[in-house]
Amino acid sequence: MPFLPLNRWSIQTYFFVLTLILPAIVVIVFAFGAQGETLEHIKETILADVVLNTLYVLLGTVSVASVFGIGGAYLTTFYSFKMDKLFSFLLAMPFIVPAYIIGFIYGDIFGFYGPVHIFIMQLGFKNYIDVLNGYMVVFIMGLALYPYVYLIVKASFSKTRSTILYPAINLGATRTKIFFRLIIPLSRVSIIGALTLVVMECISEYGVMKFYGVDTLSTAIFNAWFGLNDPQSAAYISSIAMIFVVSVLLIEKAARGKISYKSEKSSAKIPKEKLGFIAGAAAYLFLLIPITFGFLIPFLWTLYYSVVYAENIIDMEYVGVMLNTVAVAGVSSILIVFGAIFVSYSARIFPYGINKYSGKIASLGYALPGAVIGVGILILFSSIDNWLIAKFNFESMLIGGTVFALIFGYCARFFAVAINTVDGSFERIGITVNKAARSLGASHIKTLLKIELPLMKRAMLFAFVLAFVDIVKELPLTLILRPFNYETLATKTYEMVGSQMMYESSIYVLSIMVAAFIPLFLTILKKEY
Amino acid sequence: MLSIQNISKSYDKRTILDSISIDVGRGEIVSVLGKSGGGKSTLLNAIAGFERLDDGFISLEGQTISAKNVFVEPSKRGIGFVFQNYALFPHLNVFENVSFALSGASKAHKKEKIAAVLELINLSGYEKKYPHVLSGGEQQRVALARVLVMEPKLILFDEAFSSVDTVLKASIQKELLAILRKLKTTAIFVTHDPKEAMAISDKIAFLENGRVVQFDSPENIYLNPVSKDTASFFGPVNVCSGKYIRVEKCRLDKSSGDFVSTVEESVFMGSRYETTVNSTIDGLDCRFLVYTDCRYEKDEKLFLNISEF
Repeated sequence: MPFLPLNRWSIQTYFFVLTLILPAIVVIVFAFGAQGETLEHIKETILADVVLNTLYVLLGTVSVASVFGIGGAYLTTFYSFKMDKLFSFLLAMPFIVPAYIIGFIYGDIFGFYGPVHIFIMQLGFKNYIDVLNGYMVVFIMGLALYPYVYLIVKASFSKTRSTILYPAINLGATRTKIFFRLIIPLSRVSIIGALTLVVMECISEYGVMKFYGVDTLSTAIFNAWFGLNDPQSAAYISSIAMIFVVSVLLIEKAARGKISYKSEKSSAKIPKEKLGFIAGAAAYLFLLIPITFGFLIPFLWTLYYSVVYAENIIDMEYVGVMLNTVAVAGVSSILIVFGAIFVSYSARIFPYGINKYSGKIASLGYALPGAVIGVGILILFSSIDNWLIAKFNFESMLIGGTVFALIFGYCARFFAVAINTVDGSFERIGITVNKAARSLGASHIKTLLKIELPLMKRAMLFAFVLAFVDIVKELPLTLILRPFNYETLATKTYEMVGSQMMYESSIYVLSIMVAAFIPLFLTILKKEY
Repeated sequence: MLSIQNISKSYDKRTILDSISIDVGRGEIVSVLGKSGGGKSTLLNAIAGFERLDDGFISLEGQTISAKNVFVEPSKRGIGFVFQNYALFPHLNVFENVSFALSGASKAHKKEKIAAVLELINLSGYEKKYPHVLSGGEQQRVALARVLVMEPKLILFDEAFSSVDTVLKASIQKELLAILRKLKTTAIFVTHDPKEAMAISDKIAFLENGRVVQFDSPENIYLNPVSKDTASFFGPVNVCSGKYIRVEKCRLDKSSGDFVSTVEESVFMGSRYETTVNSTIDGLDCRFLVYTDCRYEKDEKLFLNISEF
């Protein structure tokens, strides 16, 4: 089979995929030619610190997320205690609170005028606990991102069967030995995959780093572009962020190796072991830390101030921001879902050569920080605008700084979210239905429209919701690409926090949380997609 | 009608089809038989147009439909395909499933044609039912109706009876065969069940490691197999003097017979005993399995009779 199959479907797919990864290509090309005084200054002064800070934050976040994620998954999968189902559910809940919101809220709670400091003062202490530091960033990022580890690893732990553990118990292995020698190695692939997601989300984070004053690659890209007005430096730092991401993916691939453990579905699940009083109390205490700090406090804080300030803040501006968010996220999600269906179907009907991997290639944007995609699009669109202005004497920018640029950015960044769901749905439908329709005289298009799409309505809805929610939560990309004065829930929250309007921002925060709860709710309903 | 000439297909340097040649006449029913992984389904997919050829060509009614540089899309071949799990469209009812291939036809024509086909396969009155409420046998008949309605030049069946339970299998086979014969339809069945192949086919193509080892009538392939693998695939066989002798062709007698034999063992198998004897035939030591109705003692001397040896 040819490496580069050439037919109507595959050629259109190549164009589509190339368009999606163009921002990343632009960043690489631009970074190669980057030079100038500003860049030299950045290289000499802050670059090393920024890279080191990023590394420290990554290491710290991975550690915190591993402890809470793997620990939570282990306790709720292998042990039974009162309200264990409620704990299983609550452990996933920080998923609905974006990291920057957790960061803003703790910034307020531990701030100079916050309840913690006031309480300490009332106790007679004069010291102010400054939480605006890297340790707090690590703790916040760990709290916000451990649900990735928890959900993925719990799914893997749940597949452990009695045929594996009973022999170990029979051979006299302790619970600790079983955990480290059997359970963890058997779930190695899932753990590595989950931690990779944590690392990528962490590299991408802008809001928390900016608020807590920790300079990482993500904030450095912003500073280079908006502070120093130097696209070349922004592209250069973006390319370093890309090197980080590529390295992580390569490490993941190497660590994953060719291992694939298959559990015997037929053998029995392991019965949960009852925890004794002391062990039970320790388990509650351990599980309550991420639940309380990652979800309960931020959620109750938001709910309280939303209710208190509701009258003042639900106004036409709020409605406008909601409409902006729904419009831009809705249109982008629809485009993403249809794009994913097109690419996935093309690979399904021509599963040869590079076409087979087009979905994976198009998903590159998800691995890259939002700021990198944003910088790529800004460079690309301003070049196109400059060319149009020079060629046709247009008086203003045509595509740069428009909603179109923002929608394109979302599509490039969140395509992967939809393609995974769509690919999975096609796989579940199976190829024989497609072959049957084709053998009955239907064209590829007719087969897709009449047979396959009606069978994947739920998957399409799920993919739409996932993409929609990710877009609603996305901050850095929106900050870079939004048109002037165009506010979404994420940018409005960020701006209000920046303007010391913490409490007034609560209703925007609550709106983001409600939106983010939808996919989690659908997953809880255990619908088959 | 269908001519397959020297077709080859490989995946990742693994040869799946190796210079296969088969000719199928109009109205003939052919079975492609072999072990799993032998290339049966790939051959069927190549005929249907779901696989492209590396070499050779396939022609249908004189028109080349697949060759290295020729490829007619599956939707334009006029070849019906009945899949192992039937592949009915779960969101469409029986009428909609069967009418799927009739796009472009008028409503009245569709109704008339579908009614006729459903009557032919004894499914009149099932129009509004959805696949999930049908039994395995009914689903298979709908899959057949869906194909028949397009009046195909050829129908391909991929392990079409494997999802049906053994009790139903024989009656469904009989029914299907009657319909195919009545319509004089050319059909190719892929199966791994030799009994099924012998029951339904005019000819059987036995595939092994991607090659057609033997292509012959069921009687010939059973009684005159060209290889040990072909012979043993269809049932127990004794090999002696380069000949393949079916077990049921051998008999043991205490008083007279063709060859003197010594009993090695006699094992009770429920409805019969399976007795192994050693004989010398044409100067060669041969071992024979013989079905007997009583147990013989080890080293007992008996006479072996072989019919048509």
